[in-house]
Amino acid sequence: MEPENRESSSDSPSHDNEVEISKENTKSSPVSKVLLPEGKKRNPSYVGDPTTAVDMGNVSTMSMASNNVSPKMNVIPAQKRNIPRSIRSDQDSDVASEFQLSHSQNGDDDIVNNESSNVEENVEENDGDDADEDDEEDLHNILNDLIRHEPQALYTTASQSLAAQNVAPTSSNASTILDYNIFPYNESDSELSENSLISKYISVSKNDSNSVFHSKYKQVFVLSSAGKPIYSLNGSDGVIMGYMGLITTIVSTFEETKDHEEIKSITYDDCKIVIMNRSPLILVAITKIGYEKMQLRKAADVEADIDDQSILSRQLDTLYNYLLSMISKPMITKNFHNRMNYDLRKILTPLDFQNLDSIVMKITYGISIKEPISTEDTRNTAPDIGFGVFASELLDSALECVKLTNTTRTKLNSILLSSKKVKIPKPAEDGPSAYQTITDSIPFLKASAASDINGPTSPSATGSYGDDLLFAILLDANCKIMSAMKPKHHNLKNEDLKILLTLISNQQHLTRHTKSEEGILDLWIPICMPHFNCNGFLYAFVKTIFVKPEDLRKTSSPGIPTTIVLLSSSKNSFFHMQEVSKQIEFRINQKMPSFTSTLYQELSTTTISIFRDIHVPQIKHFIYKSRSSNQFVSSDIEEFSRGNGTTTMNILKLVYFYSTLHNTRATPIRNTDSSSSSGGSTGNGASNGNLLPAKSASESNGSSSNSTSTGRNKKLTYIKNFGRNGENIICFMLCSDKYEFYCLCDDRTITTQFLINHSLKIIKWCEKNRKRLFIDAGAVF
Amino acid sequence: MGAPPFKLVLLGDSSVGKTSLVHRFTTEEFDPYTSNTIGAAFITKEYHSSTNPDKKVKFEIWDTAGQERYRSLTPMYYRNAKMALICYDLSNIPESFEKSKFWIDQLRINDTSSDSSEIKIRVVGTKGDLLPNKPTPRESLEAGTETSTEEDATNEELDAVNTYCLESNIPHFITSAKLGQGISELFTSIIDEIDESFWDLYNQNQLEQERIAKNGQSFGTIDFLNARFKKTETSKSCCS
Ligand SMILES: Nc1nc2c(ncn2[C@@H]2O[C@H](COP(=O)(O)OP(=O)(O)O)[C@@H](O)[C@H]2O)c(=O)[nH]1
Ligand SMILES: [Mg+2]
Repeated sequence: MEPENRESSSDSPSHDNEVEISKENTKSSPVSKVLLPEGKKRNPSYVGDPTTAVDMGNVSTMSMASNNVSPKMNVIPAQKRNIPRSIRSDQDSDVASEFQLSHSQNGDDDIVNNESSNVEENVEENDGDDADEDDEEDLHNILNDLIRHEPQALYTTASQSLAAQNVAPTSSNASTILDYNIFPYNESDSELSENSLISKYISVSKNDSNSVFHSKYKQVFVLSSAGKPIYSLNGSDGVIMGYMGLITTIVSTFEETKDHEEIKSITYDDCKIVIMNRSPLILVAITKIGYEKMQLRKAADVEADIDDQSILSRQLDTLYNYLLSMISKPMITKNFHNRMNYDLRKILTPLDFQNLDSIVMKITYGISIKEPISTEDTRNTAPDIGFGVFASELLDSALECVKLTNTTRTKLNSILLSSKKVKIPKPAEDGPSAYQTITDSIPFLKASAASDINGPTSPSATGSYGDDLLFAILLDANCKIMSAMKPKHHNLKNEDLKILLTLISNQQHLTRHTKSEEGILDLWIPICMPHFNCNGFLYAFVKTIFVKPEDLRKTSSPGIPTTIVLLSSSKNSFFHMQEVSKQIEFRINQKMPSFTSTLYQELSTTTISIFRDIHVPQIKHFIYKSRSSNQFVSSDIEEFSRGNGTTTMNILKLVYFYSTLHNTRATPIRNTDSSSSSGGSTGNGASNGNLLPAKSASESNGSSSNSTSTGRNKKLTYIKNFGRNGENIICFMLCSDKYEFYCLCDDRTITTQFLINHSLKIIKWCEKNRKRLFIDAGAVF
Repeated sequence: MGAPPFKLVLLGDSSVGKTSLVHRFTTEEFDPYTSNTIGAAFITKEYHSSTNPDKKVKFEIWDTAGQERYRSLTPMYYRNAKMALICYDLSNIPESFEKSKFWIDQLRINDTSSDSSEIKIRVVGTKGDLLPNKPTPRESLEAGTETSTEEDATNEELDAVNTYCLESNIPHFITSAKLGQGISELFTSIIDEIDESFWDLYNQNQLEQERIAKNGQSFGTIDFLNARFKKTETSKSCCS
């Protein structure tokens, strides 16, 4: 963890793409700037112009950087490496953190990239028309070359990093969360049990104690530009208050520089700090976790890994998006208008803070763990699993869908469509409406106004209940999408949908609490979908029904919960949406008994079993993402963790393995068709192990040779992790322009040949079953 | 025969215990981990008076979030409601009851129709188990004869609530969702106050429905009522 360790190698971490223009002045006296008294350097100018160029600055800087800076730059000049413990401009800090990561923490994943330049020369030609067998052969050769060339480069060795930390490997066979050096820790920690480790370093704690606060790996703050705390993952107000001033000082210091450059990241000691200025809000994330200090990569990008985001800044984007969804940009702006001292907590609710905690924990650890409130409080300590939330964050907001047969999904789609279209009956024939008039005619019962919007007597009685309905979504018990409906000309971005789904999953215990008709609970949630319309709210009708085939009706079995989500454009359309939901429920549960039983059966086994479904048990876990639909599926976590430690520990491991795998630069597999035009040997890109400049590669390929089932522009990554208990996990990624495939397996039970063979088998299986695994357009009206 | 629907809305500051109250009423359980409500929840529950099983209604309950940011939605919730339960937290009387007064005023301002159609109001103190002295029987509270002398401060605050309710002529209830106290009393009292004609008309209407279903025709009461309804609607359209 210590900076000195970094000196051991001149191997360059692959930070070239995030290099930004450095600022001389900050470099020269970084510390003094930070130590300026609070307020002295405060920049008051944002009041009139809250959304100025601050945000934009980076974009242009980035592109300049990526045009001008040669990838060779990633060999770190020695003098830069000698600036520890200081705040540097982005370039330096990213260098430092990347560096630290790859050499002291999880080893040498980045070196794979350096390898790739060598490997490239040996890469077999991969003609687009190759048969799958050739494909497999090629891949195997490439992988073996890669491994043979410099084996240790691919490994994150426990022994190395243990030596660096002066910790002897334990002889115990028990797997712990300290395995693979996923997290930084002290020697003394080896004594601690898993639960104590988790509660010391990971669990959310709003405790008043400074030491509890400081031992946490992760911190997240949201504060106002004026320095008022709004949200903190850990610590009480008392604990965090002091940092607010520091943060605003840092932000305004950077704002004052001539370019109004936004500070992006700072490396201080063993922490990486990312600050995002969304005036009037500032969001800050701090991490001590190695895999979070890596730079985010879009592994399969044909655009040669050009991206400007760190993992932390994407996380902050997600949190900011949550705030926008709940209170909307205009409301934030309005409240802060002319009163920078406004306390945003006034319009946030305890639920918002719970949701923010849960989001941060899940995108960081794949699991949300809270410090128990009291000893007998067992329920709160049960971890809330959110591996899907983590995976979605990692995979560029890809969505996770439920495995269903195409017939069933199509049927669900058509149920959504036909339920939307159900006509509102004419008042005279409608019982309830007549009844409404009766109650209204009784003085005591009469409400303030006759129904003008609610229920069947609406003036728009000629229309359909679903007239205001924009999007409809059916979710399974785990909040994965079964079916969806959308208007022809509108789309919901995954980023928005993600927030809605988080919200709903955190409310599920509410909607599910009753299993009888009585006490059924429908939610009506105003929510802004910032990417859909950042200025207005939509209204989400949420109701959980229980799929229960006829033969189960008489039993006490509750059926399988399914959640109906209806997004309406009108805040007064609750009762119409309720009517639509009744139609959906009727069609799912009653109209066609045979469909109900089919659906019930399919929903009973939605997990993807490598064992049962694909028969390649040597692969322990995989994630497959379809790039065209931006959706992913992953195999049953149970199969990964079976008989090997707690679910919590296994999820922490999965998160670590997949983060590392995803964010390690991949080795491109060259296609001969394009090699001439891209001139890999002449450009810096090739020598750096980058994928061929994407454009030339795809242009030269044209659309002619596109027949391999697994797509073009392939890349792979292979990382071997040595665990303390002798279990060595291989992380393998293979991606093309069509998919991203990530998998984990145990070194002891698989050869490289089978690794390739099995991976291709899974990929083929996913491809073959894509209609079952992914939703195409859904129902469109 | 089914029960006639009866709309009811819960209003009050966030976290005073509205959701727990409804939860206890509908499921007879107390869940100490309920999360905050976002927006609003709509719950139905059939219930009959404990004194007269024939007096049965289907409560349609709006449990609102109470946060400022959802304010613009509240009119929709109390529109058509026959009854509003204004909740305040007995473990934090001054602050939460201040909010209650706001809601009471709000209802009166917005309820511009004639006095007879006013939405009925109940003031409901929640978390009675947290009172220094155990929940007092509501009769004594209603009568304003709270006499306990322990924990003077709380009692003074409670007295102020009682006085306010008496002056405003609003019934006042003390409940505890945790202990399940005072809640069936509250809902029974709501039903007991409903005039018999409510059920008569409902039943009459149901019969009419059956007749229509048989004849495939509608005339008589329904037409009359619908005509009447349209009149009501136009005259009230200004309120929406
Ligand atoms: N001791 C006690 N706590 C209660 C009672 N009712 C609610 N609470 C607690 O008060 C908090 C807020 O309750 P909730 O029903 O969510 O309030 P709402 O925001 O008004 O819906 C929760 O922590 C409940 O557990 C009660 O009767 N007694
Ligand atoms: Mg509530």
